[in-house]
Amino acid sequence: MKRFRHILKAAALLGLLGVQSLQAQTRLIVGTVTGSKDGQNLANVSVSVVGTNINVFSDNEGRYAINAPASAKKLQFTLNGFQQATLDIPTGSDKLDVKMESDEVGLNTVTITALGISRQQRALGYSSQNVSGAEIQGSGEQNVVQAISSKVAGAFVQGSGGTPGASAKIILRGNATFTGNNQPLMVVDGVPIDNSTSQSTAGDYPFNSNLSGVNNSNRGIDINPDDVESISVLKGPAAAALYGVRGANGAIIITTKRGKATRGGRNFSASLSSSVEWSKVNKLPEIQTGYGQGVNGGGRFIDSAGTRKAFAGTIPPGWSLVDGGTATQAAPDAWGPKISNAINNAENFFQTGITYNNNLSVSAGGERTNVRASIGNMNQTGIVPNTKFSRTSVRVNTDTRLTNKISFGSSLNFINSGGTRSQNGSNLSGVMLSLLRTPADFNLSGGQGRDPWKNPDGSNYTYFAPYDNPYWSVYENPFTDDVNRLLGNTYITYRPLDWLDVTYRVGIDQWTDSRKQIFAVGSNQPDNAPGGEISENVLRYKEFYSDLLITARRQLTDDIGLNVLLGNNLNNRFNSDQYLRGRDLAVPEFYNINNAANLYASSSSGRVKTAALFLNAELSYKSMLYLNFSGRNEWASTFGTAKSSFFYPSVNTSFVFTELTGTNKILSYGKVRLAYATAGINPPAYATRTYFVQPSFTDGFTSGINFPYLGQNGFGQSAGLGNSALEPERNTGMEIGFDLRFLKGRASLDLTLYNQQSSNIILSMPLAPSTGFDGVTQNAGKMENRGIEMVLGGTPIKSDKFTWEVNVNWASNRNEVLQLAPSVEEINVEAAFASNGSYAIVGEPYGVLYGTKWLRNDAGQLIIGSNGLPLVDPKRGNIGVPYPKWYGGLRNTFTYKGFTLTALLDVRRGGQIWNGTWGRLTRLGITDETAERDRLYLIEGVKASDGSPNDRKVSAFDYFRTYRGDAGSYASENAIQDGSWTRLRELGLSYTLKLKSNKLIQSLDLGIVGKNLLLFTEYKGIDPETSLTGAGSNIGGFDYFNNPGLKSWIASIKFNF
Amino acid sequence: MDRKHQVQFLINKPTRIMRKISLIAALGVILFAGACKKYVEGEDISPNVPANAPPPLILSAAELSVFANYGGNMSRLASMWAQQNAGCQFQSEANDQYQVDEGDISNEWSVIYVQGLKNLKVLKEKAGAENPHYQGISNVLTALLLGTATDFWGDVPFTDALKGEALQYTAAYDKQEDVLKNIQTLLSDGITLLNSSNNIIVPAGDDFIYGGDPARWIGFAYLLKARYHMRSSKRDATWHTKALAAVDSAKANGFTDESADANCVFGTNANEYNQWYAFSKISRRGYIKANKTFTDIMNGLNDPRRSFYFTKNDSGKYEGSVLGSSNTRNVSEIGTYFASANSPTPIATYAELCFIEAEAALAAGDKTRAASAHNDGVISHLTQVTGSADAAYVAANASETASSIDLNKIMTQKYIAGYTMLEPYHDWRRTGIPALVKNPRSNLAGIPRRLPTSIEERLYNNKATVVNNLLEPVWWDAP
Repeated sequence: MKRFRHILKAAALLGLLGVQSLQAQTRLIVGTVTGSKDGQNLANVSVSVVGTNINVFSDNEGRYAINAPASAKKLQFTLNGFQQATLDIPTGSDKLDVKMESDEVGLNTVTITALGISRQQRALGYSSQNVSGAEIQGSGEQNVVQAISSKVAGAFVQGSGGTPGASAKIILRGNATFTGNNQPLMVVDGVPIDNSTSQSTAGDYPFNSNLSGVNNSNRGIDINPDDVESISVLKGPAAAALYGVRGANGAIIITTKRGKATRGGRNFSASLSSSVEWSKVNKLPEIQTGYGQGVNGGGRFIDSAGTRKAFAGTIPPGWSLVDGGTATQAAPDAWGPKISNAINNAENFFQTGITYNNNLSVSAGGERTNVRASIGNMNQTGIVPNTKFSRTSVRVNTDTRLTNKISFGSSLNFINSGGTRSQNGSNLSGVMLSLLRTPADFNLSGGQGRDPWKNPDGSNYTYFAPYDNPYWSVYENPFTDDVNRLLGNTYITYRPLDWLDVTYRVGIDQWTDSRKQIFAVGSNQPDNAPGGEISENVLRYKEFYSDLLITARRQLTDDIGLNVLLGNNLNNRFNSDQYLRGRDLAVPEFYNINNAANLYASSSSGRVKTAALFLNAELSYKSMLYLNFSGRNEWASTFGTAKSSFFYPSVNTSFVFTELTGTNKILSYGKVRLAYATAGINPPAYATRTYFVQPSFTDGFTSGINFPYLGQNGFGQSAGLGNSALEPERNTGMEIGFDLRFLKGRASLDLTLYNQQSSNIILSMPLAPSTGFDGVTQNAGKMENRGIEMVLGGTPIKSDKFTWEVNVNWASNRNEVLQLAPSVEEINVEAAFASNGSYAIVGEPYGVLYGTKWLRNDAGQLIIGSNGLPLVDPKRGNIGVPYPKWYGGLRNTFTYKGFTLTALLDVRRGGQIWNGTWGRLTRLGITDETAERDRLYLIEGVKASDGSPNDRKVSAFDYFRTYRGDAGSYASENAIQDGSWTRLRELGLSYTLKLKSNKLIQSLDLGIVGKNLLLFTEYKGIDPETSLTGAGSNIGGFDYFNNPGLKSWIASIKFNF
Repeated sequence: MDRKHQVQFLINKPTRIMRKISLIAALGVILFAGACKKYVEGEDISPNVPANAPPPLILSAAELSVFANYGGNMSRLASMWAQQNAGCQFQSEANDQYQVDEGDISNEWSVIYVQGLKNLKVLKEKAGAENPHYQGISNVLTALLLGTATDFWGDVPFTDALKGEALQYTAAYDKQEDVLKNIQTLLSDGITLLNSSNNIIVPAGDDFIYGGDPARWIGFAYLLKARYHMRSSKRDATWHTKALAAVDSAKANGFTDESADANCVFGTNANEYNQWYAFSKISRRGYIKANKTFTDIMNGLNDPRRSFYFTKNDSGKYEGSVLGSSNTRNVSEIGTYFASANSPTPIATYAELCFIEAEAALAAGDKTRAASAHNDGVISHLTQVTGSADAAYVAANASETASSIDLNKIMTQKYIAGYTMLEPYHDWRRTGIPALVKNPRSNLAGIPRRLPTSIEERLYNNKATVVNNLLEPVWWDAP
């Protein structure tokens, strides 16, 4: 803090020195702004003195008053939806009235860029795309990240499942780094906020916890979509160079609604909205219903009366096994006898999820102060029983113009969010795992105990001993989380000179997530704690952010303007993770850690500090040519001894060529933009040294052994080798873009071509274990993303009553790993399954699915062994690419009087998924493809012995189990399926009723939205928009008993006061 | 207008104020740059993990890596390929059909090198010459783990290995012949170190295996010497002389009964479980059960250890799964003697020492000694497992004489006594006893004679000797 005060002092000093003796002569210019079409007075028009930072807004009656320096020549009037007007200040008079032409072409749309600076889109030399708040709210999504999906060209959004609060991941223009963070920075009102997703992990847990556990939230979910005024997506490093390190993957700039007073000429407005959403599972794997439980390795139990019974631990007297089986266990498979009374367990299990969403907001504006306060509450129950998520958000935004020289304001947002979640993925208590594996002759809610998922003795009523009944899982093993978060920032702007602004802004983001996981006595998960388990996990995050911005704006000549920004930025991020676990619960169903006989605790924390100085200079010539340079020098705490800071520059230019060539009937506006930018990424925390750690040992089959062990502690040198010579990672991007508008704005095309290269990529470079280490943090790799982004807009029909608008966004990205480390051709992105991984391989796209393949001859034919089954290639390799070849959204909007009908079609082509669910279910004889069992199957290929065509047929059992399914000598490539889709992501009908006669209620908005009503895909599983590993992981394309997706209807009503 | 003029025009005649501002800005930048550097300093050391650890903690960590290896996947694979156990379900079924690829064993390889050998090296360095007992134990365990590696993988790195900290990221593989020599050297040096009495600190409770007793470690080291002399029986005509000398030394140093056994020790907390228990009773029930090949041998001898080794099947018999049937129905499971929460898993036993002696004596032509050692081995193990030496069994199987003893009897009894150990698989490769046929459901032409090179070695060590063919024998397994 001491150092921080030091900097504050310096800032104050800088400001004070600037002020003295600058009492220049001014004159007051007044006037009224009206729209040229209807002559209506225009409020909130930005009025500025050209060549200075002086800026005021018109009031509700369209009046403005501005103090202009004596030397001032021109005033500029800006309002979204109107053409910018620049007028000479009359010499003889102090009055200047303005009529503004409406801007159908969108010539002076303003966009919010890095550091919360709003700039005219025409001046931008790089690609940035806006999503309006209305579009975000209209999507009906409760997660702002998910709400962006298919609305921005080049933004790849991947939800992780349909359970309440599940995370969504966003990647702009492809992955840029190997093992670090690939998601863009999220910024709210100019200040970065945390959008991480984390799993609860005990210090002694040896696996990648993203593969199991629950669907956690990405912290961006805390932002109430109803508060969002607009989102601009800055896609490349060009856009985000000013944010430094964390902006290297682009930025999602969220601007929240601020107080204003426009409605009906009053200085107060309010709105109250309510919506209800009904959700259902949209897609599940098709299963066979003709065969029941059993296999030659086991069978089913019946009691003395011949009634089907489930496994019950110890077999009661009189029970016996049908179709064989050992004394202790039934079969996990559905390779049993023919059945006729199939039970649809999945249909019985999933329910209708309901979401209630209520928002109240009040906005007020006066001459000096604008305030907006909002409170939002969202309550969601899931399709999976006993799952829920809720969020309460309170936000207050204020802006005060104290004098013409000083203004200040703040945003304050308190959020409480959290819910009850269910187990997912590779997990003996996974909901989908046991639900889908259960053969159709076993009724999961047929238990005879106190609850239908229990046996009379209180144990798990399950078809196969090691799996929890899914009802047991959701009712007995809940995971709860409770997040309290405070987000806020406050700024003060001082204008010592007409052309000089000094802004100081401080932001904080602080949250605590208190989580609790219960595993009841008798649960199968975790498999080494049959006596029950409670774990409590407290995650804390604290971010302090400040920036000092000095902005100078000079009109050098009548045509040339110069805009210089000099800034300092400090950032201090702290996170901690405290985990406490108790096992062997004494009193049943009493879930307090005091009830546990065995305790374990682990704790970790980390702090990263960065500081930066940056400069941004923009030269403009008329409204035609803009040239922008920026440079940033950044210091980071995560370097070793070799380095402490790094510099990265960027340059971009925007040329509105129609200002030179003039416009014609067809082309109304044309702009070319060109950008080159570099961004740097500092090393991860604490990677510069080799530490000693408590090792834990597991072979993946058991939970293994670890410390404290038999009363002793143990430490070994870490498996990862530190590196004190780390350099920053570099991300260099080049882009060229065209922004063309035709037919007076009736059609538009925005096209961007880009090439981004990441180099010096910091990765945990794997080492051969014979070195004594399994990896070293190293600057090594190179990766390239190149692609096209296109946004097309059109208004085929436009009349007073009826409008038809079409919007298309389309993007295609090609990613290629160019280089890893010397002699390293492939690395594991993140630890995954033994059978299937996610890899970066030189010459191939990042994150390819990696697993076993069939052995093939040169002609690509399978090589079949003497038993009629194909042989497996002893070497693993790339078996699929999980990212799409192209993807896009098509929106059609029809407006008739107060009605609006909008439909958003979302298309994704390519993008393969490892459908581990399908592979396993086929092996178990569950999937519909295994239905035909009374014949032999021939696998096409050549015999290993002599290369002649295979003629050895195999039984349905062998065919589906070990060839189509994942038993025995199976190649994971069989489970790779195309995840392409076409979906009706959004279908919305809304009606606005204007109530002019009613003084209290100005208008009423009614709406119905359908989400995901149609889905077309070849994928043989749940909705292919799925991610086992969620937004907290770099793995993509894994489906292993993931929780399913949703389709839903939303009805909403909004009162505007 | 020349260039200079143009620039002046652009900045529009700097005023006094602008000059002042520029000066302040320049000063500010310098001032801020210094402050920025200071602001980020001192946050680069992790608060979560120590930068150093003393020898006792490292020894405990290294021993746990041994337990993970001897009690985990390696012993399961060896027991399936020696057909003592049968893989009936899921991955174990595939393993039983010799489906083990380069990724399946990478964890085991990594535990040996990254957790085991590397930390043993660190232990030796941290202990220093002033603590020879720690150094000696480091030597013995290094020999043990290196032996495990070379037995399964043949040529393995040693001379060049474990040099990551010195930024050497590749390691050439040593020939197995040299690795075996090196094991002997390590053990000899270890024995010398353990004989030294000048120690500042000595191991105690941190040594799970022997509680820090140097005599026990010396006995164990001699047993390992004997084991690795014997391993070269197909290559070294004088192996038996060396092995017998080592056996004598082991016994002279107190390895005279099962109390000297080196065991993986486990506990009753979930993180301390015996890994056979954790696997077959907790996490992977039904994956691995008894193999009929093995139960047939024991049934043929009416072996009283059966009820300790296995559970009875539904028919009340000790009967394993028929090879290749993947059958889990009516099949005996692993019993509580080996698979209880805290039952020990043997690493090297007195019985093993006796059978090495018997085999070596037989090879040396001393049949009397061979018979006597064989009988000792059987009786010792029988007593250890069942609590008594069943008279009938002793009469039938542990009353060999110079005229009745043969290699088949010795190796069969060693096979029985070696259940859950790695030795039966190695011995089968070396002697072909017991006679095994390959799993008929496998596409491989025979029973594997090695493990494939770990995937990380293939990918990241361009000096690795990569072998994927499971049928390619290691050097000591000469055809």
